[in-house]
Amino acid sequence: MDAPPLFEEDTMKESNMPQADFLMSILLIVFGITVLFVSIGMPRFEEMDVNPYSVPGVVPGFLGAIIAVLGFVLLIRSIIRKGYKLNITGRTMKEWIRDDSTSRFLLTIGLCVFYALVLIGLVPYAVGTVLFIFAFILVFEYRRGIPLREQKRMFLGATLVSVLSGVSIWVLFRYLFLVNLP
Amino acid sequence: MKRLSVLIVLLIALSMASWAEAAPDSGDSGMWKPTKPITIIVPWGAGGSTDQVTRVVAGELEGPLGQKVVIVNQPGASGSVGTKGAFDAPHDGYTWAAGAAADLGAYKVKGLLDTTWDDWELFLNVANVSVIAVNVDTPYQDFDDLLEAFKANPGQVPVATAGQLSAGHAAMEAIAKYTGIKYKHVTYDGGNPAVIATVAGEAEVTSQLAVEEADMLKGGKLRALAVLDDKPLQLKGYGEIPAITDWIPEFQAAPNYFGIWVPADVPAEVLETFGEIWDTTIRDSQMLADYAAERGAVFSPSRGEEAKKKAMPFLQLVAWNYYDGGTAVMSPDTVGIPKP
Amino acid sequence: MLEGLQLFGQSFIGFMSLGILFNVLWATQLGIIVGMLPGLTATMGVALMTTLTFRMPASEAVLILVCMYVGAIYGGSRSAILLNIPGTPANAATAVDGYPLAKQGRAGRAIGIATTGSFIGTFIGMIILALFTPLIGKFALEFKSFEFFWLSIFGIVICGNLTAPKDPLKGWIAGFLGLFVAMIGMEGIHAHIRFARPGSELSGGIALLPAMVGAFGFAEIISVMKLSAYEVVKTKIERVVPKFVEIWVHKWTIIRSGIVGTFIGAIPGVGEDIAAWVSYDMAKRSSKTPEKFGKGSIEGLIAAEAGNNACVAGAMIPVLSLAIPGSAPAAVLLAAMFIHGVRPGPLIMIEFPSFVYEVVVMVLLASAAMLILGLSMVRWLVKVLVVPRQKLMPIIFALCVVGAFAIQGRVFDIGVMIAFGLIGYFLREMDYPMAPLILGIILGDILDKNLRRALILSDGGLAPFFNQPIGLVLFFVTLLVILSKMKWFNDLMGLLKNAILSPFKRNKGA
Repeated sequence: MDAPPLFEEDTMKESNMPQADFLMSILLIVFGITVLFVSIGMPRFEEMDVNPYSVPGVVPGFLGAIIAVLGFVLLIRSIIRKGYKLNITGRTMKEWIRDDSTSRFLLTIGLCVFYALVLIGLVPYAVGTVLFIFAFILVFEYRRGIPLREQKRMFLGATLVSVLSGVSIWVLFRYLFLVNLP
Repeated sequence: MKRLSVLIVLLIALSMASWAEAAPDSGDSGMWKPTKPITIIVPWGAGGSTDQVTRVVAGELEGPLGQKVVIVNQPGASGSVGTKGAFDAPHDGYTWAAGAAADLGAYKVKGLLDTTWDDWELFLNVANVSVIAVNVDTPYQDFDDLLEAFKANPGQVPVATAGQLSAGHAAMEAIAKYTGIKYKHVTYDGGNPAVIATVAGEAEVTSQLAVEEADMLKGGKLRALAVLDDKPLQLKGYGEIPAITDWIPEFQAAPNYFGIWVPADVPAEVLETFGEIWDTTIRDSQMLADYAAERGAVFSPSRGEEAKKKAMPFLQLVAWNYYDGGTAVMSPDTVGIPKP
Repeated sequence: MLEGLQLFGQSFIGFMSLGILFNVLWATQLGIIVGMLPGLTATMGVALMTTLTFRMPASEAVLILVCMYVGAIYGGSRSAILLNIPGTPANAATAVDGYPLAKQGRAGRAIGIATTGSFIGTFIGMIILALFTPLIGKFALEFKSFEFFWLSIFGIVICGNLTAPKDPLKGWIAGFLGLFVAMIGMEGIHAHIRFARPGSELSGGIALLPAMVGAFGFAEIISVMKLSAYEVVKTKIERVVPKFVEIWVHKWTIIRSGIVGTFIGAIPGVGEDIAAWVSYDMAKRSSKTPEKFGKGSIEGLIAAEAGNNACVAGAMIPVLSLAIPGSAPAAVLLAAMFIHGVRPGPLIMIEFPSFVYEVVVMVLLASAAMLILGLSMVRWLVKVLVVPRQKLMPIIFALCVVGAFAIQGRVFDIGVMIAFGLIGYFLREMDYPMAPLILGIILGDILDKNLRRALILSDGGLAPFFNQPIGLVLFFVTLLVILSKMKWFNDLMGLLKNAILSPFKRNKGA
């Protein structure tokens, strides 16, 4: 009996994994060691006569050391798997950019981050949310090359969904949960 | 046609949005009518002294306020994490903090939090006393035995308290001042965890409050050696606990008041409404009176300036003990706490 | 025991109000929908629901979350049967026999049987939960600072191990990064502010909920949008409510699956999907008609569904008694309990004695709602499956944003949510699981205080970490979990096994 992975998700191509591990492990080692040194530099409150084992730096220092060690194990493993050969060439980049899933992925991130960090501060919450949902549906349902008139149903659907859901989320939080939305 | 109806829905939604922003809950003068549940942050673990009495108070407040009063336990750093949380929340009367008035007053002296009593309006309910208790399996039969042990092994006998700044730590610092003993200070997230750790045998001694130790004393898991007061304490279902003045006659004691508080600059009607409730419902509360009698506390509600006056003697003792013991970051009189 | 029954009765009566029962119904229904929709997992559902219920009293909020959880694990069986896509990973075994049944035109029957199996499985799990959790109270006082230290390390290691079965090293890294995240902000003994400027937004620490919503909500939205779309299959639904005989003939399979599922759920870090596979496997082995398995066997379907739903109740046992979750959604549920001020762990029977029984009642109510809703409204609900993701995902994201913001009303928390979503997405792409990261944020505070307290008590000595029975057991289990993932250790064990079992053969070989 073989158990399937707990999280079903598409992962990076297996062949790229050692390279990703190699970069990540260096990041982890640097991070762990930095945390360790910052922790050592934390106050000891000696003038207040506190127990030396109760000072704030003990546990983060311990964690920093462990993260660095785990990073080191990952580094060795990725080196054994030849992860230091980073083959970022023009061709692989081009393939990545032209991949359909990459554009969907970048569009999702772009729309979401713009909505959450920019739009909400700019316009009232309800308006921003309706606009965001409308734009999201539009971006992913718009078909290039088909005249706008034939896509009327899609526009209508997007408007309906975005207004209904945006307003109901807003009403729900504003009046039921009494959250003062921005 | 369809598009028109969509447009109308959109317009209605937008106008509703602007209407809602323009019409905040306008309280009419006099009584404050909260429109959503009120939160009291208990900056200590569940089951401790603050948690116990605040839950009783919350139950009494719900009736006159006509709203739910929610208790949130937010322990950490001797209550300063939760207290800071209450102060950082909007000052609209919906977020309160609870605890011992002396802790709130001493945060600044101990360097834990930059706040003093002046920033808050206090509503006090009961006064508590510390009781030195030991695990029943330890050899200490009376307070003398314990003092011997502290002197024989300086810094080795573990004492459990609720933190750097807690009633338990204040009690031990006071004893240390009079006797010159050294002890191993072990801190927990609240009085209840400290008492449980003593029952479990991780610490030998706890110096927390009578209300927190009451269950374990009655259950025969802890042995009370002395109460930090000038008269013995009668605990229903346990018996008499001798006063510490039997061993340290010059020991100065003062009542340690507990209560709830809110930033002083909340809308005036919030303070008025709570003052009204405090003078009627809380003062006459049978629940609170029973709670105090059952667990060895003194029921004595007060508010405002009167509250600060009543709680000041204990704050003076505590703050100056820390200062004289070298564990304070500034002199208490710089923040308005005169030497006792 | 009698006291337990009394507490159970009290909790049950406490939940008997119209408002609460209404909450049970809609939360379970929403859970079923979340479970049905591929791309929305039980974990994400519980995480988002935590933000929606933040302002409710603790027991009502946790009730809604339990309903969400039970509903979602069950709801996944719908898409498994109708689309051959398990709605949540827990329903992978359901698809093996459920989809063939649907193709044979018996989708309604399959749904009915899966529903009944799920209900009985949850019910069995609930009984075991009620009987076993209070037992841990007997050991409660044995858990002191040293034991709590090992418990938090054990939790991270085992969670990392089982949520990243392919590469546990990454699970552990994620766990320790989570522990580090918990170090940011004001620390719990001296009120020193670590890794942040005093007065900055970060000095308040990184709140659990925005981090969780980011890691399980936003990160999942990105993954779902990146995948290509799935096709919806048209199916006809006939009679749903199963005949009594159909269930009765499989009574032993159901009971066995329920018990197996519960105990697998109770093993920290093993999730619902493993429970489903193990009970499916056991049913197949003891079946009189094993050849039907995989081709539309009622027995296999009922075993898988009883197993994964019993696991939900089983997973509550370590959540409540050790504060170690049995699966990713259970980790989120644990986080929600912490957010509501209930601190599960060995001391729960001392600090919150009635809470354990409240959870038992919650599981009971949720499974009853699941049975009722699962057998009605089937035809109507199938329509939900045709909602395209580009309409659903922006709404989910809007909920993520407002949920992260609602808790403390800080715009900063929206930023935290976005940051954890992006970091979480990239970490997941590199096979780092998110559950240990979130568990790390929960356990960080426990680790911090107990390690320092332990060192104070031992005057810096390490001996007490290793000479107490419970601590020692936790240490050895942790060590074994780590070693069992090392190739050389397994080789060594294999050698040892050979050496013990067949010394003669070995000698000959040498």
